[in-house]
Amino acid sequence: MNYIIEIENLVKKYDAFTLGELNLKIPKGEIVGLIGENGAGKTTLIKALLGIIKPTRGRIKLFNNYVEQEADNTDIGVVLDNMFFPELLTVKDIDSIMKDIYPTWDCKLYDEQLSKFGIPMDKPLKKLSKGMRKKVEIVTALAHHPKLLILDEPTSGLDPVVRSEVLDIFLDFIQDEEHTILMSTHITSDLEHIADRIVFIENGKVSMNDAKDEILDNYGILKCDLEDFGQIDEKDMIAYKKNRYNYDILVDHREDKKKKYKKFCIDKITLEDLMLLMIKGERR
Amino acid sequence: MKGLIKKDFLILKRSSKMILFLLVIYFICSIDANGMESSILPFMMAVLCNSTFSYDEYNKWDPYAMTLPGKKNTVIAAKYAMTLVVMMIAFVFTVVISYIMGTVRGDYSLGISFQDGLLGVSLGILAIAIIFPLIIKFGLEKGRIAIMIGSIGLAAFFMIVGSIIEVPKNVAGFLEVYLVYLLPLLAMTLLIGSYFLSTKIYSKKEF
Repeated sequence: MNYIIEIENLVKKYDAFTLGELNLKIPKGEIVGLIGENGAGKTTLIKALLGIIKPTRGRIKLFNNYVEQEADNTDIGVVLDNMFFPELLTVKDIDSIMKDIYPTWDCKLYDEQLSKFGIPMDKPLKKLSKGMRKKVEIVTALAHHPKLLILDEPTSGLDPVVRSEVLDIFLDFIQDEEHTILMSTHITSDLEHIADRIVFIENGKVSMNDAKDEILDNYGILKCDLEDFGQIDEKDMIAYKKNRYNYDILVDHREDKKKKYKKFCIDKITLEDLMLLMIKGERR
Repeated sequence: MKGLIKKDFLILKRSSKMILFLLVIYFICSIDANGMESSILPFMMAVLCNSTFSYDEYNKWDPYAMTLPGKKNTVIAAKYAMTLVVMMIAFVFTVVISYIMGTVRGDYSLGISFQDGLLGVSLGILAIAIIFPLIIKFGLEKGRIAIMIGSIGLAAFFMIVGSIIEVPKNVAGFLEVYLVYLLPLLAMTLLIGSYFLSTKIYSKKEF
Protein backbone atom coordinates (compact mmCIF):
# COMPACT_ATOMS: atom_id res chain seq x y z
CA MET A 1 0.00 0.00 0.00
CA ASN A 2 1.13 3.55 -0.75
CA TYR A 3 1.28 5.70 2.38
CA ILE A 4 1.30 9.49 2.42
CA ILE A 5 1.99 9.82 6.16
CA GLU A 6 4.08 7.35 8.16
CA ILE A 7 4.64 7.96 11.84
CA GLU A 8 7.23 5.82 13.62
CA ASN A 9 7.50 5.62 17.42
CA LEU A 10 6.44 9.25 17.82
CA VAL A 11 6.59 10.67 21.34
CA LYS A 12 5.96 14.24 22.43
CA LYS A 13 6.34 14.87 26.13
CA TYR A 14 4.82 17.77 28.02
CA ASP A 15 4.74 18.26 31.80
CA ALA A 16 1.15 17.06 32.14
CA PHE A 17 0.65 15.04 28.96
CA THR A 18 2.52 12.66 26.71
CA LEU A 19 1.58 11.88 23.15
CA GLY A 20 2.60 8.37 22.13
CA GLU A 21 4.45 6.23 21.67
CA LEU A 22 2.53 6.33 18.46
CA ASN A 23 2.79 4.45 15.17
CA LEU A 24 0.46 5.29 12.36
CA LYS A 25 0.28 4.99 8.59
CA ILE A 26 -2.17 7.00 6.48
CA PRO A 27 -2.80 5.52 3.03
CA LYS A 28 -2.89 7.75 -0.04
CA GLY A 29 -6.31 8.51 -1.48
CA GLU A 30 -8.33 8.11 1.72
CA ILE A 31 -10.25 10.41 4.04
CA VAL A 32 -9.01 9.57 7.50
CA GLY A 33 -10.96 10.75 10.53
CA LEU A 34 -9.11 11.40 13.74
CA ILE A 35 -11.39 11.08 16.76
CA GLY A 36 -10.95 11.21 20.51
CA GLU A 37 -11.96 13.32 23.47
CA ASN A 38 -10.55 16.78 24.20
CA GLY A 39 -6.94 16.53 25.30
CA ALA A 40 -6.47 13.05 23.81
CA GLY A 41 -3.66 14.32 21.59
CA LYS A 42 -5.30 14.91 18.20
CA THR A 43 -4.12 18.52 17.83
CA THR A 44 -0.67 17.66 19.21
CA LEU A 45 -0.38 14.94 16.58
CA ILE A 46 -1.42 17.37 13.83
CA LYS A 47 1.04 20.00 15.08
CA ALA A 48 3.85 17.42 15.07
CA LEU A 49 2.97 16.43 11.49
CA LEU A 50 3.12 20.03 10.36
CA GLY A 51 6.36 20.86 12.15
CA ILE A 52 4.68 23.30 14.55
CA ILE A 53 6.11 21.28 17.44
CA LYS A 54 9.19 19.08 17.55
CA PRO A 55 8.74 15.46 18.62
CA THR A 56 10.64 14.38 21.72
CA ARG A 57 11.52 11.27 19.74
CA GLY A 58 10.34 9.29 16.76
CA ARG A 59 10.18 10.08 13.07
CA ILE A 60 7.59 11.33 10.62
CA LYS A 61 7.57 10.57 6.92
CA LEU A 62 5.49 12.79 4.62
CA PHE A 63 5.21 12.03 0.90
CA ASN A 64 7.82 9.30 1.44
CA ASN A 65 10.43 11.72 2.83
CA TYR A 66 11.50 11.95 6.44
CA VAL A 67 10.75 15.30 8.03
CA GLU A 68 14.20 15.87 9.53
CA GLN A 69 14.45 19.51 10.49
CA GLU A 70 11.73 21.55 8.85
CA ALA A 71 8.80 20.17 6.91
CA ASP A 72 8.30 21.21 3.28
CA ASN A 73 4.61 21.92 3.38
CA THR A 74 4.14 23.00 -0.25
CA ASP A 75 1.77 20.14 -1.04
CA ILE A 76 -0.21 20.40 2.19
CA GLY A 77 -3.37 22.43 2.74
CA VAL A 78 -4.15 23.22 6.35
CA VAL A 79 -7.11 24.30 8.44
CA LEU A 80 -6.22 24.70 12.11
CA ASP A 81 -8.62 25.38 14.94
CA ASN A 82 -8.62 29.16 15.57
CA MET A 83 -5.24 29.77 13.94
CA PHE A 84 -5.23 31.90 10.83
CA PHE A 85 -4.35 35.29 9.39
CA PRO A 86 -4.72 38.42 11.56
CA GLU A 87 -8.39 39.36 11.41
CA LEU A 88 -7.62 42.92 10.35
CA LEU A 89 -6.82 41.60 6.87
CA THR A 90 -9.45 41.25 4.17
CA VAL A 91 -10.27 38.14 2.15
CA LYS A 92 -8.62 39.83 -0.86
CA ASP A 93 -5.46 40.53 1.18
CA ILE A 94 -5.08 36.80 1.80
CA ASP A 95 -5.18 36.18 -1.95
CA SER A 96 -2.53 38.83 -2.50
CA ILE A 97 -0.26 37.39 0.23
CA MET A 98 -0.66 33.73 -0.66
CA LYS A 99 0.16 34.20 -4.33
CA ASP A 100 3.61 35.32 -3.18
CA ILE A 101 3.97 32.33 -0.87
CA TYR A 102 2.75 29.37 -2.95
CA PRO A 103 4.08 29.02 -6.50
CA THR A 104 0.94 27.02 -7.32
CA TRP A 105 -1.55 29.50 -5.83
CA ASP A 106 -4.66 29.69 -8.00
CA CYS A 107 -6.26 33.15 -7.74
CA LYS A 108 -9.08 32.09 -10.06
CA LEU A 109 -9.99 29.07 -7.96
CA TYR A 110 -9.86 31.17 -4.79
CA ASP A 111 -12.16 33.81 -6.30
CA GLU A 112 -14.56 31.24 -7.73
CA GLN A 113 -14.92 29.23 -4.52
CA LEU A 114 -15.46 32.35 -2.42
CA SER A 115 -18.04 33.76 -4.84
CA LYS A 116 -19.79 30.38 -4.75
CA PHE A 117 -20.03 30.75 -0.99
CA GLY A 118 -21.11 34.40 -1.32
CA ILE A 119 -18.18 35.75 0.65
CA PRO A 120 -17.31 39.39 -0.07
CA MET A 121 -13.65 39.88 -0.99
CA ASP A 122 -13.22 43.33 0.53
CA LYS A 123 -14.43 42.50 4.05
CA PRO A 124 -11.92 42.08 6.87
CA LEU A 125 -11.98 38.66 8.50
CA LYS A 126 -13.22 40.16 11.77
CA LYS A 127 -16.43 41.30 10.05
CA LEU A 128 -17.24 37.80 8.76
CA SER A 129 -19.44 35.33 10.61
CA LYS A 130 -17.78 32.26 12.09
CA GLY A 131 -19.15 30.09 9.28
CA MET A 132 -17.92 32.46 6.55
CA ARG A 133 -14.51 32.67 8.17
CA LYS A 134 -14.24 28.91 8.29
CA LYS A 135 -15.12 28.76 4.60
CA VAL A 136 -12.34 31.27 3.85
CA GLU A 137 -9.92 29.06 5.80
CA ILE A 138 -11.00 25.99 3.83
CA VAL A 139 -10.84 27.73 0.44
CA THR A 140 -7.39 29.09 1.39
CA ALA A 141 -6.26 25.55 2.21
CA LEU A 142 -7.41 24.33 -1.20
CA ALA A 143 -6.36 27.17 -3.49
CA HIS A 144 -2.76 26.06 -4.02
CA HIS A 145 -3.82 22.59 -5.23
CA PRO A 146 -2.44 20.57 -2.31
CA LYS A 147 -2.17 16.79 -2.38
CA LEU A 148 -2.80 16.40 1.33
CA LEU A 149 -5.31 18.26 3.48
CA ILE A 150 -4.72 18.30 7.22
CA LEU A 151 -7.76 19.67 8.99
CA ASP A 152 -8.26 20.28 12.68
CA GLU A 153 -11.96 20.71 13.48
CA PRO A 154 -12.82 22.11 10.03
CA THR A 155 -16.57 21.94 10.56
CA SER A 156 -16.86 23.06 14.18
CA GLY A 157 -19.25 25.94 14.67
CA LEU A 158 -20.89 25.51 11.27
CA ASP A 159 -24.60 24.98 10.81
CA PRO A 160 -25.73 21.71 9.14
CA VAL A 161 -26.27 23.34 5.73
CA VAL A 162 -22.80 24.86 5.60
CA ARG A 163 -21.29 21.68 7.01
CA SER A 164 -22.85 19.72 4.21
CA GLU A 165 -21.42 22.20 1.64
CA VAL A 166 -17.99 21.88 3.19
CA LEU A 167 -18.14 18.08 3.23
CA ASP A 168 -19.05 18.17 -0.47
CA ILE A 169 -15.89 20.19 -1.13
CA PHE A 170 -13.85 17.52 0.63
CA LEU A 171 -15.54 14.78 -1.38
CA ASP A 172 -14.76 16.68 -4.61
CA PHE A 173 -11.14 17.02 -3.50
CA ILE A 174 -10.78 13.30 -2.83
CA GLN A 175 -12.00 12.37 -6.32
CA ASP A 176 -8.38 12.68 -7.40
CA GLU A 177 -6.70 9.44 -6.28
CA GLU A 178 -3.52 11.32 -5.46
CA HIS A 179 -5.34 13.35 -2.79
CA THR A 180 -5.65 12.48 0.89
CA ILE A 181 -7.43 14.08 3.85
CA LEU A 182 -6.57 13.73 7.52
CA MET A 183 -9.29 15.38 9.55
CA SER A 184 -9.82 15.63 13.28
CA THR A 185 -13.34 16.35 14.45
CA HIS A 186 -15.79 15.95 17.29
CA ILE A 187 -18.68 15.83 14.83
CA THR A 188 -18.50 12.11 14.22
CA SER A 189 -21.59 12.12 11.99
CA ASP A 190 -19.50 14.05 9.43
CA LEU A 191 -17.00 11.21 9.39
CA GLU A 192 -19.79 8.66 8.97
CA HIS A 193 -20.66 10.50 5.75
CA ILE A 194 -17.23 10.92 4.23
CA ALA A 195 -14.44 9.03 6.02
CA ASP A 196 -12.80 5.85 4.73
CA ARG A 197 -10.79 5.18 7.86
CA ILE A 198 -11.12 6.06 11.53
CA VAL A 199 -8.20 6.56 13.87
CA PHE A 200 -9.20 6.72 17.51
CA ILE A 201 -6.75 8.48 19.82
CA GLU A 202 -7.02 7.80 23.53
CA ASN A 203 -4.68 9.26 26.13
CA GLY A 204 -2.11 10.04 23.47
CA LYS A 205 -2.13 6.59 21.90
CA VAL A 206 -3.86 5.04 18.89
CA SER A 207 -6.46 2.65 20.26
CA MET A 208 -8.20 1.93 16.96
CA ASN A 209 -7.18 2.29 13.32
CA ASP A 210 -9.66 0.58 11.01
CA ALA A 211 -11.74 1.12 7.91
CA LYS A 212 -14.91 2.99 8.85
CA ASP A 213 -17.23 0.43 7.25
CA GLU A 214 -15.45 -2.36 9.07
CA ILE A 215 -15.98 -0.57 12.39
CA LEU A 216 -19.65 0.15 11.74
CA ASP A 217 -20.27 -3.41 10.49
CA ASN A 218 -18.29 -5.14 13.20
CA TYR A 219 -19.30 -3.39 16.41
CA GLY A 220 -22.70 -3.25 18.06
CA ILE A 221 -24.41 -2.19 21.27
CA LEU A 222 -26.03 -4.95 23.23
CA LYS A 223 -28.78 -3.57 25.43
CA CYS A 224 -29.89 -5.52 28.47
CA ASP A 225 -31.83 -4.91 31.69
CA LEU A 226 -29.95 -4.49 34.94
CA GLU A 227 -30.92 -8.00 36.14
CA ASP A 228 -29.81 -9.64 32.84
CA PHE A 229 -26.30 -8.17 32.93
CA GLY A 230 -24.91 -11.33 34.58
CA GLN A 231 -25.99 -13.42 31.58
CA ILE A 232 -23.46 -11.68 29.31
CA ASP A 233 -20.09 -13.37 29.07
CA GLU A 234 -17.37 -11.00 30.32
CA LYS A 235 -15.14 -12.00 27.40
CA ASP A 236 -17.74 -10.58 25.00
CA MET A 237 -17.77 -7.14 26.60
CA ILE A 238 -15.32 -4.61 25.17
CA ALA A 239 -16.80 -1.87 27.35
CA TYR A 240 -20.10 -1.26 29.11
CA LYS A 241 -22.03 1.62 30.58
CA LYS A 242 -24.67 1.36 33.28
CA ASN A 243 -27.71 3.55 32.64
CA ARG A 244 -30.66 4.14 35.00
CA TYR A 245 -32.68 1.14 33.78
CA ASN A 246 -30.32 -0.86 31.58
CA TYR A 247 -26.76 -1.51 30.39
CA ASP A 248 -25.20 -0.58 27.07
CA ILE A 249 -22.51 -3.11 26.20
CA LEU A 250 -20.05 -2.63 23.38
CA VAL A 251 -19.50 -5.89 21.51
CA ASP A 252 -17.60 -6.84 18.36
CA HIS A 253 -18.52 -9.47 15.72
CA ARG A 254 -22.06 -8.18 15.90
CA GLU A 255 -23.69 -10.86 13.76
CA ASP A 256 -22.08 -13.67 15.78
CA LYS A 257 -23.20 -12.02 19.01
CA LYS A 258 -26.73 -11.70 17.66
CA LYS A 259 -26.80 -15.46 17.26
CA LYS A 260 -25.27 -16.03 20.68
CA TYR A 261 -27.56 -13.63 22.57
CA LYS A 262 -30.86 -14.14 20.76
CA LYS A 263 -33.03 -12.69 23.52
CA PHE A 264 -31.15 -9.37 23.55
CA CYS A 265 -31.30 -6.51 21.14
CA ILE A 266 -27.94 -5.67 19.49
CA ASP A 267 -28.07 -2.35 17.63
CA LYS A 268 -25.75 -1.05 14.96
CA ILE A 269 -23.26 1.39 16.37
CA THR A 270 -22.53 4.99 15.48
CA LEU A 271 -19.06 6.47 15.85
CA GLU A 272 -20.40 8.66 18.63
CA ASP A 273 -21.68 5.62 20.58
CA LEU A 274 -18.36 3.91 20.05
CA MET A 275 -16.43 6.93 21.32
CA LEU A 276 -18.69 7.37 24.34
CA LEU A 277 -18.48 3.73 25.37
CA MET A 278 -14.72 3.54 24.82
CA ILE A 279 -14.12 6.72 26.80
CA LYS A 280 -16.85 6.74 29.43
CA GLY A 281 -17.63 3.05 29.70
CA GLU A 282 -16.06 0.48 32.00
CA ARG A 283 -13.48 -1.62 30.16
CA ARG A 284 -13.30 -5.40 30.45
CA MET B 1 9.36 35.95 2.22
CA LYS B 2 7.74 38.53 -0.06
CA GLY B 3 4.30 37.31 0.97
CA LEU B 4 5.11 37.55 4.66
CA ILE B 5 6.47 41.10 4.29
CA LYS B 6 3.36 42.00 2.33
CA LYS B 7 1.21 40.63 5.15
CA ASP B 8 2.77 43.01 7.67
CA PHE B 9 2.50 45.96 5.31
CA LEU B 10 -1.16 45.18 4.73
CA ILE B 11 -1.67 45.15 8.50
CA LEU B 12 0.02 48.55 8.71
CA LYS B 13 -2.13 49.75 5.82
CA ARG B 14 -5.26 48.61 7.67
CA SER B 15 -4.09 50.58 10.68
CA SER B 16 -3.46 53.64 8.50
CA LYS B 17 -5.67 55.78 10.74
CA MET B 18 -3.09 55.29 13.48
CA ILE B 19 -0.28 56.26 11.09
CA LEU B 20 -2.15 59.44 10.11
CA PHE B 21 -2.67 60.22 13.79
CA LEU B 22 1.09 59.78 14.36
CA LEU B 23 1.86 62.12 11.46
CA VAL B 24 -0.47 64.78 12.89
CA ILE B 25 1.23 64.50 16.29
CA TYR B 26 4.57 64.75 14.53
CA PHE B 27 3.56 67.89 12.66
CA ILE B 28 2.29 69.49 15.85
CA CYS B 29 5.58 68.66 17.60
CA SER B 30 7.56 70.00 14.64
CA ILE B 31 5.90 73.41 14.58
CA ASP B 32 7.61 74.55 17.76
CA ALA B 33 10.86 72.76 17.11
CA ASN B 34 13.62 72.47 19.67
CA GLY B 35 15.68 69.68 18.14
CA MET B 36 14.05 66.67 19.79
CA GLU B 37 11.02 66.48 17.50
CA SER B 38 13.05 64.88 14.69
CA SER B 39 13.39 61.59 16.51
CA ILE B 40 9.70 61.21 17.27
CA LEU B 41 8.37 59.95 13.92
CA PRO B 42 10.78 57.02 13.33
CA PHE B 43 10.45 56.02 16.96
CA MET B 44 6.65 56.05 16.70
CA MET B 45 6.87 54.05 13.47
CA ALA B 46 9.07 51.51 15.27
CA VAL B 47 6.38 51.16 17.93
CA LEU B 48 3.84 50.67 15.14
CA CYS B 49 5.97 47.85 13.69
CA ASN B 50 5.79 46.18 17.10
CA SER B 51 2.01 46.34 16.90
CA THR B 52 2.04 43.78 14.05
CA PHE B 53 3.14 41.25 16.69
CA SER B 54 -0.04 41.87 18.68
CA TYR B 55 -2.26 41.14 15.66
CA ASP B 56 -0.21 38.00 14.99
CA GLU B 57 -0.45 36.83 18.57
CA TYR B 58 -4.18 37.57 18.94
CA ASN B 59 -5.07 35.47 15.89
CA LYS B 60 -2.42 32.79 16.50
CA TRP B 61 -0.75 33.58 13.21
CA ASP B 62 2.62 32.02 14.11
CA PRO B 63 1.50 28.36 14.28
CA TYR B 64 -0.38 28.90 11.01
CA ALA B 65 2.73 30.47 9.45
CA MET B 66 4.68 27.33 10.41
CA THR B 67 2.46 25.34 8.04
CA LEU B 68 3.40 27.50 5.03
CA PRO B 69 6.26 26.56 2.72
CA GLY B 70 9.68 27.95 3.54
CA LYS B 71 11.94 27.92 6.52
CA LYS B 72 10.63 28.69 9.98
CA ASN B 73 12.97 31.65 10.38
CA THR B 74 11.58 33.34 7.27
CA VAL B 75 8.83 34.68 9.54
CA ILE B 76 11.48 36.53 11.57
CA ALA B 77 13.47 37.62 8.52
CA ALA B 78 10.26 39.11 7.07
CA LYS B 79 9.59 41.06 10.30
CA TYR B 80 13.07 42.61 10.30
CA ALA B 81 12.91 43.34 6.56
CA MET B 82 9.51 45.02 6.97
CA THR B 83 10.89 47.14 9.80
CA LEU B 84 13.91 48.25 7.78
CA VAL B 85 11.66 49.35 4.92
CA VAL B 86 9.43 51.24 7.38
CA MET B 87 12.50 52.91 8.88
CA MET B 88 13.68 53.97 5.43
CA ILE B 89 10.29 55.53 4.73
CA ALA B 90 10.36 57.20 8.16
CA PHE B 91 13.85 58.57 7.35
CA VAL B 92 12.64 60.17 4.11
CA PHE B 93 9.60 61.63 5.87
CA THR B 94 11.72 62.97 8.72
CA VAL B 95 14.19 64.68 6.36
CA VAL B 96 11.43 66.16 4.22
CA ILE B 97 9.31 67.38 7.14
CA SER B 98 12.35 68.70 9.00
CA TYR B 99 13.36 70.61 5.85
CA ILE B 100 9.86 72.00 5.31
CA MET B 101 9.59 73.10 8.93
CA GLY B 102 13.05 74.66 8.76
CA THR B 103 11.97 76.57 5.67
CA VAL B 104 8.82 77.79 7.44
CA ARG B 105 10.89 78.92 10.43
CA GLY B 106 13.55 80.41 8.17
CA ASP B 107 16.45 78.34 9.59
CA TYR B 108 16.45 75.51 7.08
CA SER B 109 19.47 73.37 6.37
CA LEU B 110 19.50 70.13 4.42
CA GLY B 111 22.47 68.94 6.48
CA ILE B 112 20.58 69.38 9.74
CA SER B 113 17.47 67.75 8.25
CA PHE B 114 19.60 64.79 7.19
CA GLN B 115 21.11 64.56 10.68
CA ASP B 116 17.61 64.75 12.20
CA GLY B 117 16.57 61.82 10.02
CA LEU B 118 19.65 59.77 10.90
CA LEU B 119 19.21 60.38 14.62
CA GLY B 120 15.51 59.50 14.56
CA VAL B 121 15.93 56.34 12.50
CA SER B 122 18.86 55.20 14.64
CA LEU B 123 16.75 55.51 17.78
CA GLY B 124 13.90 53.64 16.07
CA ILE B 125 16.23 50.82 14.97
CA LEU B 126 17.81 50.65 18.44
CA ALA B 127 14.35 50.29 19.96
CA ILE B 128 13.47 47.50 17.52
CA ALA B 129 16.79 45.73 18.07
CA ILE B 130 16.04 45.53 21.79
CA ILE B 131 12.27 44.99 21.69
CA PHE B 132 11.91 42.30 18.97
CA PRO B 133 13.89 39.50 20.68
CA LEU B 134 12.07 40.20 23.96
CA ILE B 135 8.65 39.96 22.30
CA ILE B 136 9.66 36.81 20.39
CA LYS B 137 11.01 35.20 23.54
CA PHE B 138 8.33 36.17 26.06
CA GLY B 139 5.30 36.99 23.92
CA LEU B 140 3.67 40.41 23.83
CA GLU B 141 2.34 40.65 27.38
CA LYS B 142 5.41 39.36 29.23
CA GLY B 143 7.61 41.03 26.60
CA ARG B 144 6.16 44.45 27.50
CA ILE B 145 7.00 43.90 31.16
CA ALA B 146 10.53 42.84 30.18
CA ILE B 147 10.87 45.96 28.01
CA MET B 148 9.71 48.18 30.89
CA ILE B 149 12.08 46.60 33.39
CA GLY B 150 14.90 46.73 30.82
CA SER B 151 14.28 50.41 30.02
CA ILE B 152 14.24 51.42 33.69
CA GLY B 153 17.38 49.36 34.34
CA LEU B 154 19.19 50.87 31.36
CA ALA B 155 18.19 54.43 32.32
CA ALA B 156 19.32 53.83 35.91
CA PHE B 157 22.62 52.37 34.67
CA PHE B 158 23.40 55.39 32.48
CA MET B 159 22.38 57.82 35.24
CA ILE B 160 24.67 56.11 37.74
CA VAL B 161 27.53 55.79 35.25
CA GLY B 162 26.99 59.42 34.15
CA SER B 163 27.20 60.67 37.72
CA ILE B 164 30.33 58.63 38.54
CA ILE B 165 32.36 58.94 35.36
CA GLU B 166 33.19 62.32 33.95
CA VAL B 167 33.51 62.25 30.17
CA PRO B 168 36.79 63.90 29.08
CA LYS B 169 36.23 67.12 27.17
CA ASN B 170 37.92 65.88 23.97
CA VAL B 171 35.72 62.72 23.97
CA ALA B 172 32.60 64.83 24.59
CA GLY B 173 33.57 67.10 21.73
CA PHE B 174 34.18 64.13 19.44
CA LEU B 175 30.81 62.61 20.33
CA GLU B 176 29.02 65.92 19.77
CA VAL B 177 30.32 66.03 16.20
CA TYR B 178 30.32 62.37 15.23
CA LEU B 179 27.59 60.78 17.39
CA VAL B 180 25.01 61.38 14.69
CA TYR B 181 27.08 59.22 12.32
CA LEU B 182 28.19 56.65 14.89
CA LEU B 183 24.71 56.04 16.17
CA PRO B 184 23.36 54.57 12.88
CA LEU B 185 26.36 52.22 12.74
CA LEU B 186 25.78 51.14 16.32
CA ALA B 187 22.04 50.71 15.65
CA MET B 188 22.62 48.58 12.55
CA THR B 189 25.20 46.43 14.33
CA LEU B 190 22.77 45.87 17.18
CA LEU B 191 19.98 45.13 14.72
CA ILE B 192 22.03 42.42 13.00
CA GLY B 193 22.85 40.89 16.38
CA SER B 194 19.20 41.19 17.38
CA TYR B 195 18.14 39.38 14.18
CA PHE B 196 20.42 36.41 14.84
CA LEU B 197 19.29 36.27 18.46
CA SER B 198 15.61 36.39 17.40
CA THR B 199 16.04 33.61 14.83
CA LYS B 200 17.76 31.45 17.46
CA ILE B 201 14.90 32.03 19.91
CA TYR B 202 12.25 31.44 17.24
CA SER B 203 13.80 28.22 15.93
CA LYS B 204 13.47 26.72 19.42
CA LYS B 205 9.96 28.04 19.97
CA GLU B 206 6.91 25.79 19.86
CA PHE B 207 3.31 26.88 19.48
